Formats: sequence, structure tokens, C-alpha cells
Amino acid sequence: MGSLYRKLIVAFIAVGFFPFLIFFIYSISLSQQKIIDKIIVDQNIEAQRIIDSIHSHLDVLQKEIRFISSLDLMDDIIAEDIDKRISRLLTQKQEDIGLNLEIFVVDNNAHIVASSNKESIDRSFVASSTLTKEGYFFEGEHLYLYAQVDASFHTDKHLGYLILRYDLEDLKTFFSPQSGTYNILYNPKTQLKIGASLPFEIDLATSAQIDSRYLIINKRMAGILSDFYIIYGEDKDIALAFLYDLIFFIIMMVPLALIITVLIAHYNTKSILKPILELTNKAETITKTKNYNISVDHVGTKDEIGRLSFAFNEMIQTTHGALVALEEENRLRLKRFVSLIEIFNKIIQTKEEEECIQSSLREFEYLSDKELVFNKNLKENKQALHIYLNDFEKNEKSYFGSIELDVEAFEDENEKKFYTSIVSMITLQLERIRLIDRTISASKAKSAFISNMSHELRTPLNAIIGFTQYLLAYEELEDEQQDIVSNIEKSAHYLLNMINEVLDIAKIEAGKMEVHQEAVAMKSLLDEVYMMGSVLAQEKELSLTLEQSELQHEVIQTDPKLLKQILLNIVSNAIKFTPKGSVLITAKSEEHSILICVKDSGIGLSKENLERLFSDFVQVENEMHKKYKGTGLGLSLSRKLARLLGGELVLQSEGEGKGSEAILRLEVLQESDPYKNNT
Amino acid sequence: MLYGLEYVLVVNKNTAIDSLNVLQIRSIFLKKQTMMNELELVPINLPALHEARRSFETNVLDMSQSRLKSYWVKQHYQGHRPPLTMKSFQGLKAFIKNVDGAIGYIPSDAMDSSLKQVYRWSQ
Repeated sequence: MGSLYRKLIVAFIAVGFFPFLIFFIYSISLSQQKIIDKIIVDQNIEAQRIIDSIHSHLDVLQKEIRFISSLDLMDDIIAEDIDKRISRLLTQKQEDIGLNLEIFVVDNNAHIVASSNKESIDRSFVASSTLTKEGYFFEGEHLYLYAQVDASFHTDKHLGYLILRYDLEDLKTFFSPQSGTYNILYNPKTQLKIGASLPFEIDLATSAQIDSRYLIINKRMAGILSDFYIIYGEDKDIALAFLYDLIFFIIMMVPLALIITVLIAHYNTKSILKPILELTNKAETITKTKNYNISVDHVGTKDEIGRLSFAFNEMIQTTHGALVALEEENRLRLKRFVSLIEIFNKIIQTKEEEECIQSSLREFEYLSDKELVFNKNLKENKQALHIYLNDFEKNEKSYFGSIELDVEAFEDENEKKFYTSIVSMITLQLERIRLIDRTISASKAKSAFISNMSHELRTPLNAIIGFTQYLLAYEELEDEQQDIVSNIEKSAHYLLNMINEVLDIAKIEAGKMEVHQEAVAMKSLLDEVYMMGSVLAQEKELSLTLEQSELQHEVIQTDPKLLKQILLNIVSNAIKFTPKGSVLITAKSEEHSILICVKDSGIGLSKENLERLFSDFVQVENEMHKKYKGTGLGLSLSRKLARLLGGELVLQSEGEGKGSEAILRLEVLQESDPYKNNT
Repeated sequence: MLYGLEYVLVVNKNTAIDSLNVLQIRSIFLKKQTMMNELELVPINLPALHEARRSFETNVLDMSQSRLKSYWVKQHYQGHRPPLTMKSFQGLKAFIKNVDGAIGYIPSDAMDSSLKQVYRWSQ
């Protein structure tokens, strides 16, 4: 959504703002040249205006001079203006014109007869140049306008000249003084400059020049002042003030326009995106809550977004319908699955073949509403599911029977699979029932065989032992014969022991070992075991220690015969597998149990061997077999007995050569708690 | 001497005119005669309200001011102009001294050697 928003904003700016920007940049660059051109044109116009004004001004003055010179009054020159009439007139004129100028009359003797300035009267005036018909000449910073005066009564009679001395500085009044503009009149011939000093150099080569700070034009004057040029300069900053204002305005406008564009874009984009956003939010809500009842409010517009939201609603409804249907179907399937499991469960729990078949058929019919018939005769014509059982002993399959379905054909492959799987299940259960039956009977037969065998073996063995003992005790045998007979006796004893052990295991496995529980005083039992063990230990010169001071449950409820057998076994084992060193028997009480540990410093065991050790007929490694005699039944039998007594036997070892520790844990029944009994 | 004030009509002494009668004077000042002895005549008046001029107009020209005025209005349309006017006797005298043919009136006691009397009248 963010990226769409960005795209739209960028698009709006591209459409709205950039043309505006380009327009402004274009107009700035264009307007700069235009404005400069315009300023130069304006300057030219202004300069021309000044030229025209000065021209007409001087023209007026010239006419005035000519007019005054033609007055009859000028005849007073003849009387040397004795009545001061000319002087008064000139003064009047000078005041009317109002400039710093002087009008005076010289007679033919260069004698000032009358003047607007009284002090000039009677002085002499010598013109720098001969007075011609032109009517003017320049001298220094002054312009002299003059007219010849003739007598009114006698046109041939030349009386003198009327002269107007014009201070050129007065021309400054024609300049419009503005800050930033510089006007002067310049006569390149005399280097005369009229006006304020200029901050720039005068260059008459080009009519307009633009340097870094000023726009300067020059223009040649007309008429009397045709030797002069008007120089008109303008400070660029001021001349272009409007342009700079415009640029400033635009620079101010650019961010404003950008902001406006962005704002408009933002609101437009928002309004465009709003329905999309709503749609997205709704979609997200639906995804999160899984609530397909939500629908998007109708956007109202008939544009693409309106259609989109309409289509979205349609889709939601369709999805919703599909989901409901799917859920319903799921529930149905789950139900079916659960009932299938139930059927399986029921089938598994059956213990008889007939029961298995009948129970399966019943459940099956209940589930599928179809009539099922079990037939033991093989028929091929109907839709039937045949049951073949695997005979493990013969390793072949045999026909058991068929389940006939009351259908012409299966609806689909899945239904067929469904029925097939049930039949597989039935087959498995039937096989299992058969297997269990056979196993149990085989096991029973084995146990009975071993039990009988052992019993039958013991009778001749007892006879052998009895006779050999008799031979040893009562017949005077030679040493060699004695050795042979005692060897026979030893072997027979060994064989008898082995048979006893095998018999015990067989008994336990056949569940025929009887436990005779009675109150057993642990301390005396342990002393007994110790006594018996110490005989064996002495033979091997080992130290055997009994530590039972921590024992608290002195009397427990157990079978003393079996317990003694276990303890003797583990103690003799410890002595047997300890070439030298010590064996420590420790007995201590825990909360509901007694711990008896037999720890030796013997050959020890590796971890792998520890695990194997309790299996029947296993002695660790062949090498050991050679060194240590034994059936390998001892530990296995001890553990079985311990379990029979409700205890556990474990063997621990740090590793080969590090000794081993046998731990017997016996549960102590609550009633037999000695503390309880005592109180 | 209430009536003893005398005026003289004068030219400068270079002018070849010795004496003028009233008629001649009148035609000169009404600018009917502008030349005499190949010399251009320049009659000069004093300001209109000057008592010498009133005396001259009354006693010599024998014309009232209103009559003179209407005369010069008519003459103006024909391109003729009335005589030049000087403001004072001094100016008049200076003018006459400098211009041959100039003719004007001054009090008799203002006469000097540079001037020549051509007519004389009394108040």
C-alpha cells in the first residue's frame, strides 16, 4: 500500500509540480533577458525624453532671446538703457525662467548695457568666438545663446547683442534623480561632464553596455547640444529589482506549490487509496480472524475500485460457502476417522478369532449402513474382500474367509481402500491372535520342558554327587584317584548349580516362582551373607567389609531366601571379578527403600558391556569366559529375583579396570515401617 | 513762473534740420513723414502720462489723447507703429545724441550743446 501511495504521489508531483517548475525556470531565464531588453528600451526612451526636453527647453530659450531682441525696447541700447527698462525686462525674464542664468545686452563696443544681473552692467563682455548667425556658443560650463539687436526704426542699424548665458549645470534638472540611476551629459570633445560623478567608465563605442553591476546606454544629443552624449546608467540590482522580486516570489512559490501539490496529491491519493486500504484491512481482518462473514461496504463509485470491492465481496461469500462446506465435510471425515479408530480399537481388543470377525462386522455395518456377510467359502462372483492369513511357521498364506459386501461396485477408489484397510486390520488382528496363542503355548511348553528336564537331570546328578562323596569319604583311594573323583564331584556340583539356576529362571518366566514374604531382620541377614562371602574373600586374600550402621529399617517384609540368593550372588560376583583389593558392602535406608551396594576394586566393565550383562547366558567377552567360570546366568537371575521382590538391581562401572558397583534397591512396604510398629 | 515752463523739440547737432513748423512736427510724430533731407526721422515720445508729452500733444500736435489713441489703432492695422517711447528726459537725450534723425522734446533748461533746438513752445 505504501508503495502505491508513493507512486501516486510521485505521479501527481510529476504531472502537477514539475511542469510548474519548468515553466517557472523557463520564465525566469526568459524574463531576465526580456527585462534587460525592456530596461534598455526604457532607458533609451527616458534618454530620448530628456534629450527632447532639453532640446525644446533650449529652443524655447532661443526663441525667447530672439523675441526679446526684436522688441522696440531694445532701442534703449542707444540711450545705454539709461531708464533701466531693458534691465528690468531681463531681470523679469530671468526670474520667469528661474534658472541660474543671466541675460544681458552688449552694445557694439562689447559694453554690457543692460543685464538681469545688475553687477554685470558697465562691464565689458568679449565673446570667445565671433558671434555668428548660429545664435550660440559654448564657453567653459556655459552655453551662450544670443541674438543680434537691430534698431526698430532702422533695420540696418545694428545696436548690439542680447545674450543669454546658460549654466549647463542647470540641465541637471532634466534628469529625474532616482537612487540607482546615473545620468550625465558628456561632451567627448571637451571632456565636459554635466551631472553627478559616475561609478563606471564611459564607453561610447556601443550604444548599450551591460557590466556586472550596471546597465548603461548612451545617446547623442540633438540640436545645440549635438556634441554631447547623454549617458544613462542604472544599477542592475535596482533595474532588475522586479526580476529579483519575481525570482524571490518564485523561490517562495516553488515550495508552496510543492506543498500544495503534495497536499492535493496526498488527499487525492488518500481518497483513491481509501477503498483499497479498506479492502486490504478487511482482507487482513478476514485472514486474522477467519471470519468470512465480513463484507466490504459498498464503495458507491462505479469505477474500477467499486467493481473490485464488489468482486471482493463475491469472492468472500464464495470462499465462505466453500469453507463451510469444507468444514462440514471435514467434520464428517473426522467423525468417520474417529469411528474407524474405534473400530480398530475394538478389533484389537478382541481375543478370539470368531469374536474378532463378529465384532468387526457389527461395527462395520453400523458405520457404513451396509449388510456384510462373513463367508468361509471362497466365492469369486460377488464383491468380496478375502482374508488371507500368514502362517509364520510354514511361511505361507492361507485362505481364512471372505467378507461379502452388499454392493454392485465401489463408489470410488477411496471407498475400496477404506474397506481394504479394514480388512487388513482384521487380518492383522487375526494373525496376532493366532500368533499370541501359539507363542503362549510354545512358551508354556518350553518352560514345562525345561522344568521337567532339570528335574530329571537333578536325580542322576544327585546320585553322582552322592556316590563320589561316598567314594571320597569311605574308599581308600590313591592320590591320583582322589583327584579324579573330587574333580567329578566338583563338576557335578557345578552342573547342579547351573541346573538350579536354569530352573529358577524357567520358574520365574513361567510365573511359578513363589515368593514367601515374612518379616526379615536385615542386619542378621546381611551378617550371614557377609560370613559366607568372607570365606570366599579369604581364599583370594581380599578384604571384605560390611557397613550397615546407616540401616534404619531393621525388619522388612520380604522373602529371606530369595533376598539372600541375590545378595550372595552379587557379593560372590564381586569377589570373583576382583583379582586383588577390596569389596565393600554398604547398606543404608532411604525414605521408602533400602539400598544395598556392593562395591569392588575389580576388573570393571565398559559401558557397552554393562548393557549386555543382564541378558541370559551372557558373560562379557570370550576372553573372560576362559578366565572366569560361570554360566552367565547369575546377574540375570538376580535381577529377575529382585524384580520379583519388588526391587531393582543395577550395575555401575566407571570403565574397564576401574572396579564396579552393584546396587540393590528394595522397596519397603509402609506397614512394615519399624518406627510405625514401635510406636 | 506758473506758465513760464518752456519745452524745446530737439535733434542732435549732426542732424541737418534747423527748424520745423507745427505741421511738419505733426506729420513727423504721426509718422506721415519719415524722411527729411535723406535722413530717416526717429520721433521719440515720453510715457503717455508724462506732463511734457501732454503739453506736447495739447500745444503742438493740437490733438486730444483719445483722438491720438484711435489714430494709432487705425495705423496699427496698416502696419505703422507709434513713435518710440523713452521713459525719461535723460534717456531721451541719450537716445537723440546717439541717433541721427532722432527727434524728441525736453524742457528748455535741459538743453545742452550737443543738441539743436528745432521748435519751442511754452506751457
